[in-house]
Amino acid sequence: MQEQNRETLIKAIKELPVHEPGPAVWDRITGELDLQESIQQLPQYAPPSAIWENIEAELDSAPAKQAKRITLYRKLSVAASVAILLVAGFWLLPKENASETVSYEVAMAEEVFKYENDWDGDESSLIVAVNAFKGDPVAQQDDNYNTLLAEWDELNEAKKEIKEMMDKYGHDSQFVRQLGAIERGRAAVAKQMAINI
Amino acid sequence: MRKLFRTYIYFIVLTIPYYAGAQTTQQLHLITKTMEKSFTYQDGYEVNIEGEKADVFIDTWDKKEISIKLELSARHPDKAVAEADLEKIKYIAKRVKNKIYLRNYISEEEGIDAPTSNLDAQYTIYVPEECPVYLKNYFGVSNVSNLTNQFRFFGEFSQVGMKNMSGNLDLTSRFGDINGKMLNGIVSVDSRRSDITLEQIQGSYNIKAEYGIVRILSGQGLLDLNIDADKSDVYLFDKKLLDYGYVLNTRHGEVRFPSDLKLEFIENSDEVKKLQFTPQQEFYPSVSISVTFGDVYLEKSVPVNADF
Repeated sequence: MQEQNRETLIKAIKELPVHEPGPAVWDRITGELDLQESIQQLPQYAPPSAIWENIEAELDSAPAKQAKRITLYRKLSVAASVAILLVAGFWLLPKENASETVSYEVAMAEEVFKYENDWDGDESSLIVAVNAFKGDPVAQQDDNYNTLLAEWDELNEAKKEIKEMMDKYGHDSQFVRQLGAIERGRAAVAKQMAINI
Repeated sequence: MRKLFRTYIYFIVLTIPYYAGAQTTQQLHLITKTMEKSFTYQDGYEVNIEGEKADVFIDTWDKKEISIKLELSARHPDKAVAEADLEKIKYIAKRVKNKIYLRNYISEEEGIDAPTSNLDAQYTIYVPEECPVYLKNYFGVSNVSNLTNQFRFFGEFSQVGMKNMSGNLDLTSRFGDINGKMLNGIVSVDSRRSDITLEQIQGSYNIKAEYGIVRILSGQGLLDLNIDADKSDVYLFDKKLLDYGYVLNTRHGEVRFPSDLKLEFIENSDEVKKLQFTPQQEFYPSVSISVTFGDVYLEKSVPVNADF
């Protein structure tokens, strides 16, 4: 096998910059060598014989312990147990059908009703009645004064909710029926207010 | 002058034309997206549904499995618009700990136009009969059958129908009628501006109603019936009316009952009426009805021309 562009590589290596180590590096190396020499020159002491006797006596009195040896059989047993636990856990865990299916279908709707937005047509008339009721001193004495106003507010809020849903989900017959019921309720309250004036 | 003004106001209000929508026919593209998913059922699980403009159908089966089919649809004359609007309906179908959580909604992100198509969601859900279900629906229709453990409902502008249900039933509704048939258990109803019709019922009932009509067609097995109604009329139809014990109260209302039902008037003024009756037998179902600004009707059978 022949090395390619060998000359180019040698030339590039020769052109690499040369760096000299700083004096602090040599000082640190010398210091470490001195420390090793000093450790070797430390005096050595032999322990008293009584210590060895005590150690031997304790060894004789302690029950002999068998060294633990993990055999291949034991390793396989543990591995099998873990595997069984994992499989059991997999089966016992509550499962979700991972294959959530989503499909599309396109068709033509044959008959659909579209409703004109005319539910606010009588609003001004109703407001006239409600405002007259609100400011009427006789009506204010009536036991049902606050109840009727609260009912009016509740129905207004309901109408608002239905219209918001219509803006989101479209004007289908369910919404129009609900709006019709609310409008009948509002008309009934306004009529009652007019009677109480 | 005052009388003239009142006449003027009254004339304006009374002459408000009855609302009627103009109708036209139009061909629309209908795009439907269907999602199906199932979960293995375990004891302690609960199905929690939060529908918006959703038709929800819930029934039971013998499998230990919860099956969900959600169909989202968009209708619009322009197919591309229908397709784009359909993608604006978001849904969630996932299990969080012991709750199977389902939800559909329209995402209202900034910079994205509101849909112009008619949009709908339809859930078809099958669960084991003992699976508790909590259903919230906003502007939808719900039909639930055959649950035996617990059913909770919170609806706004949403009608709910129930059939052959037992256990604990807890129903709250605003602007949405409640209909039940063959119910048995401990039933609690809190409704406002909603009509309530319960047929062939057994067990104990606590009903609170405001601005609605309450119709009870009880059957053998009724234990207790407590109704507290405000600005509502209450009807109790039962051929065994004479077997029940009654405590009836009305304020600004009337009590009408068959002549052979020997109710005793405890108080009988123009404003307040209090009546009671204790049957001879040792054990009897107890009926307590309290109505303000409404009437109480006790009848042995449903009138032939009844519209429910």
